Amino acid sequence: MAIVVSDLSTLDTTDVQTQLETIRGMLESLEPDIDLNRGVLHDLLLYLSAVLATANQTNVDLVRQSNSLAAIEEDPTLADDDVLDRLASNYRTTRKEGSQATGSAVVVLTASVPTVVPFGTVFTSNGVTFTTPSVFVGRTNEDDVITDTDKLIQTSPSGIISFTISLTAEEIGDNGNISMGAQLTPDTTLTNVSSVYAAATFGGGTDEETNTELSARLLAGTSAKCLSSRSSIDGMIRAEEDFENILQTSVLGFGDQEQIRYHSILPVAFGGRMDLYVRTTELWEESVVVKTATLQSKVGPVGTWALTLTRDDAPGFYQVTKVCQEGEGAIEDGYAAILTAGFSVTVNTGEDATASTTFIPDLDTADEARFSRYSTATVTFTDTDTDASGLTNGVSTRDYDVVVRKMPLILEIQDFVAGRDVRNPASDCLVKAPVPVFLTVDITINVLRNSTEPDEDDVKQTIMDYVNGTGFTGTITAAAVSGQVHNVLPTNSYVDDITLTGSLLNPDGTTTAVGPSSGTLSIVEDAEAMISSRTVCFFCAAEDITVTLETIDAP
Amino acid sequence: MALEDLALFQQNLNGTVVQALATPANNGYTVTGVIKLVQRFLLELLTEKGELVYLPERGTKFLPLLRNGAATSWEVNAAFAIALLDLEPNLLAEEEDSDLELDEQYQAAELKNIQVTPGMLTATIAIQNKAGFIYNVSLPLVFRLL
Repeated sequence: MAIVVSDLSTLDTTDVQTQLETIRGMLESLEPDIDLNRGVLHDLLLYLSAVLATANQTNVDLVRQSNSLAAIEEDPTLADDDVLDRLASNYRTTRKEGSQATGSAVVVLTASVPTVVPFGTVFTSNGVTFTTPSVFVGRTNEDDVITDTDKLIQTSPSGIISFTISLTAEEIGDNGNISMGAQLTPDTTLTNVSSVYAAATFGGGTDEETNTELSARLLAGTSAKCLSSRSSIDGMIRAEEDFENILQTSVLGFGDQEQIRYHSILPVAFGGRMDLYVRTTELWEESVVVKTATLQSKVGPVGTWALTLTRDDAPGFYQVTKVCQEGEGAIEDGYAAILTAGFSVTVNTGEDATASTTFIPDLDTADEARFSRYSTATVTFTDTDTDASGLTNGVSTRDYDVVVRKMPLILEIQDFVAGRDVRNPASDCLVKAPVPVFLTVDITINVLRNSTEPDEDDVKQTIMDYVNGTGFTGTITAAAVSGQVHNVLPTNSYVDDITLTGSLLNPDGTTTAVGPSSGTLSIVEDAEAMISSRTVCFFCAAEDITVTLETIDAP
Repeated sequence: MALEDLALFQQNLNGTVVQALATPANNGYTVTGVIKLVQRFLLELLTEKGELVYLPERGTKFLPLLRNGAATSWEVNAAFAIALLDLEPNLLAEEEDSDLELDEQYQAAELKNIQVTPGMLTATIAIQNKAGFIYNVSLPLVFRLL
């Protein structure tokens, strides 16, 4: 237990001397005839008793601190795990044990023949291992797909043969939330299998709750759970089981420049509007949506197509990263259509045949709705892989895999806060994903010749954990990133240089370059465009980190 | 009234002295007067400075200096003189604002004689109290290679 004093040489000297005087005073009253000021009794009896008494008192003080939420908040390292767990139980709260990530993987085959992936097959991606929770059999004939573990083998228009399986991470932790397209390497040779990729971003992986996180949750938990103050709003959302793992919230309402949804002929802020920005996961989620595109125009065999992402396709989406032939969205080497520069974003609050029956926030423009569940988009792209010669503009249609990058749970949280029993009668509440800055990191690490080289995966994970855990902020520093990386570097290696480069995705759909910088990377705030340290979060994925190791000689 | 302290040294039947609070022959004694002063002096002299972690000013460098190769009587004299620089302020500080009898209060000390033989050093120290009485104590120190 961390709260027990195990080394008597680490006590506070002043405390020991104070205890010595206290014990001397008490013993002198009890035994006035013995000399306790000097000599054998002083050095052997009084001194050693004072040391032990101080150790006991220190233990008592540590236990007392561990039972205080205020003291724990000041210094979470003082809190012993067991003591904090018992304190949390007083508030009917238990430490989150963490969970294993799960997801779907695409198994690419060399031939369209029945293929078996045995139960318990281990796959590895970026040092994280996953297993199949059951046997999966790829079937060539739909009539042979009988059980849940039978999967129909499909062939994409470009000839890629594949079927999907489910995987579960072997260990708990958020490092199991691998990105869509991440390559998975089996530990055994699988017959007829050429490669395996994550079909979409894996999810559900969480780390065991630390003392810092548990104490923060306790403090939030004691607040009233309602849409009133910022802490109570945060506590209310976290109290819901489906949202208990969200990372940070930021509420902007009356008095905040970033709150622009005052639709009145008078240029004044009259309240009643609340924007709730939520970072639900460390990294965005990528998934594939199958959409039907309509041919817009063609030049020879090359057609330009357009499709619409509805507000239900990817609520809270950030961007479309690629459009592929149907069935190839997750495949790294699959064909990707040419997206036109940007894509138009509109707002749809539900004035269509499937109008929402829940309370709808006041929305006027596409910019206001951006990153919320009310945002829609028209995506235009050029498909150089499909011969459009015989197709008709405005009539011909074709299905495509659209890979969308988004923040999960935006729809679910919006529906929750719009509920009649939950929402504030005096205000609407619009839930949004954070305004993202997509960060790339170039880091150079010097390693002394013949020394142990750093593990690049560890370095990347450390950078990701730090950047994606910074919350709502407009600034990130290379020094802070460097400090984190040094904690995982072996002896005789050090960070030589870091360059941070950001791309801010504005609510109006444009992008703004941020940096590059080897010092402090900061956004240019524009509160009236809803860009500020209260709306912006930094995101960094493993593929956006470049680690360069340089060998150096001793001077 | 003189306050009593535990006797740190016990005399064996054969006349030798051993550092012990009690022996098989007796359950220990208490000491007062000049003997208590001598005991305090020896305790302070033979405690290595820093050994009492939470009383960092206590003790002297006498034993460490001897251990590090004081081979001549001159070097032993020097070590004793250096030790007195730490020892005397500590003893006097203990007596400050106290109601000790004069024969228990420290006045001065002098290294009278040194006998150095292989593996052993016998120092004769004269300790004077404020009553004017000088007590000579013979301090045998045995050194062994471990």
